Amino acid sequence: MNIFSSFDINASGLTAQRYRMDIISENVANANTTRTDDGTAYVRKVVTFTEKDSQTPFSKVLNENIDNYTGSGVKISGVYEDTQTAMNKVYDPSHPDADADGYVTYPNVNIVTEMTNLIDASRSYEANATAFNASKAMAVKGLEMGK
Amino acid sequence: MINSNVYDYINVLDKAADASWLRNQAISNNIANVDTPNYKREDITFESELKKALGNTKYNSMDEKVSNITSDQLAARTYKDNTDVSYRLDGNNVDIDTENSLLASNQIKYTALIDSINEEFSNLKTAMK
Repeated sequence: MNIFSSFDINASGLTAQRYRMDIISENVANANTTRTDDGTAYVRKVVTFTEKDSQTPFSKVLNENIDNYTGSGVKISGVYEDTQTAMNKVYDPSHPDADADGYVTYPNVNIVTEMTNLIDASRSYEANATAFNASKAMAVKGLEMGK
Repeated sequence: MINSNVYDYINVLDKAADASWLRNQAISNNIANVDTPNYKREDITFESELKKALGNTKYNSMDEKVSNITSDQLAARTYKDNTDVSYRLDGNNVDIDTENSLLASNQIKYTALIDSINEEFSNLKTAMK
């Protein structure tokens, strides 16, 4: 049982939520980007979370059997392009990126969805920060033992 | 003095503080994984073990009960909470408000346990003066 492992768990949550906020910001900033490096419109990006597992399978089984706690936080498992949501097509023949029929392909970014996700990420970040403060207060209190 | 029963309560309080620290870790992990699909919350069983250990009817007074607890009876165990029905589509059963309140109550409990240990020590000091 490592004293600072609960700090690491809280920090992993903070890192993951901050990274998610970065990606959401990127989506919002590129909401009107019709041309990226490969010439197509920007595609909305999503992050996926997975449970962090820094231990080897052997030490995990061993620790579970000697009743040590094995959880070690969260990590980003990947950033994917959202190909499920349809791209926005707007009729604007004067636009330089318009196709032969006069339609411009705008990114599939929905500002309302992004803002909702941003608030969600922000609240989760705060929850992790609260948990970190609780862990820190407890560690400091533990040092007062026997004084 | 070393082989007497003066540290019995301290030993039990120490185990309880260990369990409380472990629970803080479990709750931290639950909060960190609040957005992880298919994650199931984890928690610690300690109170039920302590209740079982103290429920021994062979002894009458609390002092006797406490002094006859062996430390391996009070091992905190982790368990995965699979039974809670998840109301979320992603299969995760962490409720952030529940975790936050558990976190707060656990923190107060830990503080109280450390204060009790300090109280035991100060009682011993007073007796030795």
